[in-house]
Amino acid sequence: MVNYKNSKMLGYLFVIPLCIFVTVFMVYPIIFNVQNSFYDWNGIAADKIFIGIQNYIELLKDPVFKTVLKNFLLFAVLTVGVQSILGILIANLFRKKFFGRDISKAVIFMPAVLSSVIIGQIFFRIMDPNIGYLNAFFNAVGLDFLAGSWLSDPKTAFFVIIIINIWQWTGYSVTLYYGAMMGISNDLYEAAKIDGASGFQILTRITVPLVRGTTYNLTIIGVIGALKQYDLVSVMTGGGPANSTQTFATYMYEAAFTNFRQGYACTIAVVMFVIAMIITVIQLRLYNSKSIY
Amino acid sequence: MKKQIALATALCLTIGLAAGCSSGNTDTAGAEETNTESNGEKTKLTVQSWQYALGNYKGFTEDDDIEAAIEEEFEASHPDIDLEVILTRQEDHYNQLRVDLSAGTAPDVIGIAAGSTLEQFKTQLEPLAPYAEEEWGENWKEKFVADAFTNVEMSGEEIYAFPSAMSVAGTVWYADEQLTAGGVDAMPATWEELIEASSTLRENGSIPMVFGGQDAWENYDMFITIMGSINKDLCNQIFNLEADWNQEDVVKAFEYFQQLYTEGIVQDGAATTTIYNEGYSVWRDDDGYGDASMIFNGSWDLGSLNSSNPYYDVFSKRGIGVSTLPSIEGKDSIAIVAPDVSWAITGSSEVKDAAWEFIRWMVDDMQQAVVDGLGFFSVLQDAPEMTTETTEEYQNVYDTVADIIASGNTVGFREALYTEMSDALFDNLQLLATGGTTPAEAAQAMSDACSSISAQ
Repeated sequence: MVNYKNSKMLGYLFVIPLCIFVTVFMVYPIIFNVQNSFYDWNGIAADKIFIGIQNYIELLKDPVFKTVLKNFLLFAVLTVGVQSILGILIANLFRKKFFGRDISKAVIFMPAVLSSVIIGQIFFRIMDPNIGYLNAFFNAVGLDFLAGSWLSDPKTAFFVIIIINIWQWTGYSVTLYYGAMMGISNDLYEAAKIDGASGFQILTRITVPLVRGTTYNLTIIGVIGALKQYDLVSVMTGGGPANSTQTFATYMYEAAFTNFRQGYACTIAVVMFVIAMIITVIQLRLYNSKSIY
Repeated sequence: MKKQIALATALCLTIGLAAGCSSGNTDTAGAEETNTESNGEKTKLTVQSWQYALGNYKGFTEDDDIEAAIEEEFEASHPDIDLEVILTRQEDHYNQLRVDLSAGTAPDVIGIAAGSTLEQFKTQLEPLAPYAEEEWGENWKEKFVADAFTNVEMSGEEIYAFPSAMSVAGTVWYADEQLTAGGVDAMPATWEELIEASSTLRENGSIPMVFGGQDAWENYDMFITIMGSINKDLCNQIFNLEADWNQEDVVKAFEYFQQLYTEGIVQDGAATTTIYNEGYSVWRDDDGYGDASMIFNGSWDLGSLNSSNPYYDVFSKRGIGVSTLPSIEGKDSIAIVAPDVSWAITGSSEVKDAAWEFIRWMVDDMQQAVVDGLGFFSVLQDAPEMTTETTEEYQNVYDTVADIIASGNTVGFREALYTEMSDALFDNLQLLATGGTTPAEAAQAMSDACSSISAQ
């Protein structure tokens, strides 16, 4: 007979459903994934061949994986950096009331609610070098030198994807920064103005330091997003041209479902998992740190 | 009281989670019972494939309509079998199969592409040669056209799939209207004429040839066509690992492939364009108009010339024709005649006899439907004649394609058997397209990739 007044037992009973869910849908797949990374398996055959760390050795030598790592770092640094800067600047503008401010806030945030697949399709057609609007516009205004095949040039394709991602998510950064800025006391700004601080000094010495908690959050979210980037790349370039826009997710998908190399795909997933764990540890340390406002 | 309610809720959630996890097993057990043949009851048979595998059967374009039509047609001649046809996207079809095969709930019959895909799935499939021998005798292969089993037999001596329709790939569809408007009198007959025509078309603001450089299969079709046109025997040998890739004619083939981009033959941005639908929409939009003079495509597009299409009036006036790739170095170009889709029985099926009956029906009884408007060609030597009324444009293109098949100047596979080879080939073709490698380096890279396959 359970003694309901003994809350310890009751507590365990409450968490059992979630524990089962996490074990079945999160813990077990991770273990299964790590296990498969030591096998040569096409994901279909009943038998798997144990090959030890061969997949990891191959991954370290794989030139495409080096491109994946480079793209991840590029994506993370550029998208997080630019979105943070634009987010702070635009949110700072919104602090002051002006005509159309509320509508502007909504318009800037709108891309963040759109599907990445739809955004990718639209921009793909805009940037079509044959019948797309972008080249037509450049030619019409005399900027012919800018018209080109941006998505089919390995040197520019990934930067195009980065720019579109920045366009899509800057509104999200603006919203978070704006919320953080609303929590800053106006007394600080008034005191700074009395002391003769310029707008730039107020922004850099008061606003930016006091919203660093938001900056840390957006950095973590942005880096995790860079790790998971799939939709835009898949729709716009498919990981090409010549693997120049491959990301972790697209390369893992190609390995598993196009090349029937489930074991190798699991190896890529394990590396992703390790990177995500490192990011999570950094995030937890930052949250526990007293230096965050 | 609140704690009691909360505890009851938690227990219900736990039970619900456990029930949800076990419901699949219950359904599977139930399915196994109904699948088993029993006296007086219909045999339940499930078939899964992608929509394209059954084409525009009887003019239907929606999955639900095609599924119902096939079920009705089959059950009319097989009243003891309850057929369920499931059509889905090709990618989803294969991904779902992986899960179903692991779970033991795979359909009885599956559509499958012969080549590297069949090679990967074959350990889960039933060998079909014994069924064919019992049905048609020892010489059953003579019933089929020569190229029907080229792709299938790349997977070894066992026959794991039977094709139901052939298609012709590696051809160039052209529009006389766009060619003329772009300053080109006729479809180029030689590679040199193609380069010159492409330059003329570009100067006049027209798009030369649409090519889906992002699609692996388009790249394979193009390379195999070029390689087979230069040296057909070597083409067969390198894909079967019987010859080294690092040879003069292979380098030459890579050179001609690269010229598609360096000489402006294909449209700008081709390397990151898929043929469906981005590339194709430049060839023909929903109203039948197009900006491109040529497109590298296959016989499956015959359906676009049916008068039932809403865009037919506009499209038909563009002077649509089909040709093999322009001649390279004076040699007649080849085309690829290969099965477009094949049918296989999963090893876990408990109704293999009924499953074989469906396959036999598709590859034999249904060949009239194949010929009558699916846009495919029959797999049978004694192919039935087309009985449906067709437009003049459809008939012209159909006759051209039929002549290509009859010429025998064909290759019977559209992809490599080995995924490592396919992957390396696609990577190198993309590098050639973007100037990231040279033809000689590409040939060496392919040689290296194939060495590792041979060593396994």
